[in-house]
Amino acid sequence: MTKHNFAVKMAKLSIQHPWLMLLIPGIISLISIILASGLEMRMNWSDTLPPNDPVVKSYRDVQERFGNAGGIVVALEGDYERIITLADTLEPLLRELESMHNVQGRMPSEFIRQNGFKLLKPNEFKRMLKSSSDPGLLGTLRGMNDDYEGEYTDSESNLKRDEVNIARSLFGLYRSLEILADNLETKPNADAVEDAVDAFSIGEPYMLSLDRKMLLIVCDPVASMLEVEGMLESAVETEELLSKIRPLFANVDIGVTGFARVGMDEMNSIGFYTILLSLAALVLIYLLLARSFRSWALPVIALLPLLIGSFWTMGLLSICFGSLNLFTSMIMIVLIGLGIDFSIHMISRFNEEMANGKSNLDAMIITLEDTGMAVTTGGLTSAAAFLTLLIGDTQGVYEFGVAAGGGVILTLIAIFLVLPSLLIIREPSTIFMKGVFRFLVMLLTFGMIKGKKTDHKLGSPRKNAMPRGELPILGKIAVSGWNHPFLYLGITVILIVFSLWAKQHIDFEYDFLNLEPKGLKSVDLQREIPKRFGLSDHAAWIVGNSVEECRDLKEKFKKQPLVGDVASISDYLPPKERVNDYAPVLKEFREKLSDKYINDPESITQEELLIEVNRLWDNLDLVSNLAYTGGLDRIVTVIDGITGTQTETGEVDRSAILPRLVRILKSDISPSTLANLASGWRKRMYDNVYSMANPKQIKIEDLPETIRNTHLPRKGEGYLVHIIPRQGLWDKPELDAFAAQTTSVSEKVCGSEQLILIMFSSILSDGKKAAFLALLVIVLIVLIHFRGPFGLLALIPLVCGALLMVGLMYLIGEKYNYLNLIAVPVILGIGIDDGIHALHRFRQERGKAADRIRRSFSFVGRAILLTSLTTMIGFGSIAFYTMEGMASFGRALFMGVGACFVATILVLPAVLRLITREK
Amino acid sequence: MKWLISSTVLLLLLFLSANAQEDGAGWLKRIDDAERVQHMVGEVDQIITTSSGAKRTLSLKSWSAENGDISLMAYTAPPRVKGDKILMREGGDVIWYYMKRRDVTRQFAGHTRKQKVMGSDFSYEDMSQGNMTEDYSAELIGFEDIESISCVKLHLTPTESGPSYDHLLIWACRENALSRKIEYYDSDGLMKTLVLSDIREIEGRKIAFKFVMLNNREGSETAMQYQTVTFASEPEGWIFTKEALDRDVK
Repeated sequence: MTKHNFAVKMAKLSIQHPWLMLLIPGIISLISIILASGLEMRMNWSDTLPPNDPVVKSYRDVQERFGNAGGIVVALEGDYERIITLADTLEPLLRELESMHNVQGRMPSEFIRQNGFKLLKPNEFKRMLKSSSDPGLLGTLRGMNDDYEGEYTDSESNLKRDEVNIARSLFGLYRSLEILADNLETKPNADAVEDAVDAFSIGEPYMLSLDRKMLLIVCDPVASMLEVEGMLESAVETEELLSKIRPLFANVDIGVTGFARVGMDEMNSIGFYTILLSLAALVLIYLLLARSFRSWALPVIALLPLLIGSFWTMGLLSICFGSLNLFTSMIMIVLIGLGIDFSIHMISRFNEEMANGKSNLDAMIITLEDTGMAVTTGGLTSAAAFLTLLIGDTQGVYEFGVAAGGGVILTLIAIFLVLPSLLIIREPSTIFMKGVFRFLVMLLTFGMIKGKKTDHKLGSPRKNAMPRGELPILGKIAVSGWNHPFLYLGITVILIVFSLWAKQHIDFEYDFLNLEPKGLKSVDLQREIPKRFGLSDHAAWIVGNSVEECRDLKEKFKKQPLVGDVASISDYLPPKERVNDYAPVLKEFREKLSDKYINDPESITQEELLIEVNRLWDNLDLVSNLAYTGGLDRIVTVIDGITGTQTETGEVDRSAILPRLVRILKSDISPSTLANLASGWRKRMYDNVYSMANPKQIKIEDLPETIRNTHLPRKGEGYLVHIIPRQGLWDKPELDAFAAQTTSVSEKVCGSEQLILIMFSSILSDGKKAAFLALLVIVLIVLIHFRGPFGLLALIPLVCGALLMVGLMYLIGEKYNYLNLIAVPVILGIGIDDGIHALHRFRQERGKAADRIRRSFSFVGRAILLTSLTTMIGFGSIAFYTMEGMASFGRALFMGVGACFVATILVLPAVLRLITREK
Repeated sequence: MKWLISSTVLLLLLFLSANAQEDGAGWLKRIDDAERVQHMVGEVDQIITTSSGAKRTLSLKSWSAENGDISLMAYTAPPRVKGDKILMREGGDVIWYYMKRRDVTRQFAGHTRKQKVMGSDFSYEDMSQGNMTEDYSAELIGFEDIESISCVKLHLTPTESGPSYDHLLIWACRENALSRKIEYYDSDGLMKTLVLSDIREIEGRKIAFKFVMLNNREGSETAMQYQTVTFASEPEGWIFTKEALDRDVK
């Protein structure tokens, strides 16, 4: 069938059976809407990763076996006492939530009290036995001072080795000294003294920020990251609980973060505001089209096939993937942005032909045969450009390729099926509709198409011609380019050279938090937690096959400079041989401790205590200076909190706990107060140390539930090791270094740091391959369409526009990110249309070359301007999204589409002049 | 005849080997002569870049005397460590640390020689000048260019009383015998690399003004840049005593 025959048949079908032409797409749309309603929103970037990458596989394996560790992190901020009280209340309630698998808040203090010494390595074990040999208050402080002087005050490497344990024990010391000071100032409280001893010997039970004003409770939902709905449910359930708790603790700020919570906030951010923006864009597009077509009905006619095409695409995505990801969630706007071009060109041509006095049948045949051909070529070129993304390894890119490529084809089909019928129906002369069908059409077009019977006959010219679709100013501008080709091309070359330079100088955004919606508490917390805790709030993982393998891995990971902490089940399960070796030593220690406790009663003087406290201050200050120069900020901040040293100035705040304690010890303290304090301390410390020296072996069943849930799988086998970065990793060198350091220990390690790098490298690689292939396909199609190399000129606006887009991105300080990189194939798909239509029309025109330029750009230029403006409005609306990644995608395409239009009007005529050599 | 050839080759090898040893020692003496100063006063900026990328800038004044056997460093910035001093005696075998904020003086244990000085990548034994010809035996490896400067490359093995390293590789300029690069090895391999640059002539002596020590294991780095150096007058002896640590030194 020739294209003429096809156009005639389609035009006749549209005129003779418009109901059929609308009914079939309507039914398919209905089915598509039903299918699309089941689409899941998977808005996490990790869902878009290449599924066959070994690290991604490991990550998914960890998720499947161990669930979503740290999916929800509750951050309590306020005074120390208040956040501890709230944490004690909140933690059991969080445990009761059905959607929660594990809650890590208070550390298992009782387990440490029963087993503490066995968990130590031989060197630490010896030191602990030595420093704990005298359970009295003075003996305890002396033991600690001796240990610090022997181990830490002159050795930065020892500090680095034990950084995590030191910071933890310092928190305990901090609390302990506070209670001591309170007890010396007022009457001793036996319970409080026990708390002081527990804090000193076992450590701070909660995960506290370095300034002790924020506390974290880490929750692992039952659902893994791979089960989006379940994960979001747990975030909602947690929020419901917190909303009940908040009024009871008005002075504590309760924030929530973690993957589940950020996921929920991301979803919400694409909610009402986004819908509002999309509606605003639609209204703007509508008004623009209405103004341009001088009709209220035509914009609806233009948009209706696009909506139908979008529904079909959603149905297709539902069948293919069952979900939308970060990329495909924007597909409706991309399709409407692209598809509106097709509609506008078709409607413009139809109007033009009608205005020229053609009958509607003839006008439709010409529109379908001629403009329809250009639209098809443009559409297929766009689709082919998008379909090249199918070669991508990245799941997100692949799915976007299917959505955009398939979507453009479906939209094209929808336009060819629906648009002619709607245009014909709108004509008062042609169609008589009645009954339900007329009602439906009126409803869908807001009454703009009434389908009333007139006396107009099929094929006769319209009595009142429509306005001609022409914008002479564009023709004049194009002629100016034609008349001064060297001037225009010279400027273009300069801009292109600049853009090529800019392309190499735009940075990459590796800080994924910068791509998240602005102003979200959950996102802000993700950045705040590493700063305030001296550790990242999330971990990389590796699965060990045995406890011993985990122990070995922990030691190796701990040596890596960027690793802040490693949590492994081996921390709680010492090797049997080691416990056997310790057992006789522990028995002997217990005996000596009992003897000392019974035979050597505590005698303590205020002066002796002051000496030890001052010595402690000296030691802590020495350690903090050493830690300061060595960059061990966790230790510095906690010690400075205790000593009152201002970290940068070295000035001392005299209200801090150590200066206060020294002041108290220099004042008059009643001997009975001191004696009571000393006796209470000694008794509790004896109990604690005796318990901790328990020589019994530990089995996996003896471990507290929280520890087992943190490290044991929910299904399958293995033990999860958590590798926690020393700090938030926000740029490439840090990410690379962390990835290099952790993979140097084992290739099996997986975590968001590696995933971010994989994401970028795979998108870049996919993008380059796809762009090359897309250009190749585009070249082939334009060569075929224009039957020769003349068609290559259609690429000029595209290439200039795409490069200028990059230049403009540089000028506004944009960085490449995994979302706006997708703008490159999209602009290839969109930008090619302008060149094809302009060239197509130029070739059709007859007469002098300058006149052909003026006429073709006056008519087709108007349509291109209109399509560009509508597309820019669509993408411009995305530029206002709160989610910065998506907004950058919108900004890039807004500029890209505009640049392609400018290049079409200004550059193409200049090139045509040089190529055709006509005057 | 075979016996004669074998004996000749053997003798030749022995001669070359002995010559290499002699050349190594000779070069080491030249380096020691070029770098060892009787006494010195200098002001230094020290930038420590930790393995996690954090930067700390410290400023200090240093004095040394008795051919480098005794030295004193006094921190002048930042305020947190201003006034803190490190006194090294007996070629770094005896180390005292004075902390001004607490007005406390501590003697560091013997093993501290191997420890980092105030979180930098220089250990106390790196900082103590010592006598290279006494601390190391040298073997000539060959000649190589370091940043387009023709250098002699020596393999240094610490003597019994020398530093704790397994061995060092040192590259020194053939023309002026000043060290340009030193690699420090322990039994596990390369530990640190020191690069010396910004050679200037002060009071008739050539001296490197910039020292960058890269910790190859931890990824940290410490850059020391002299601001001023003088060899003109010998520091007074009292400043190198424990008792003087809490006193101001000009």
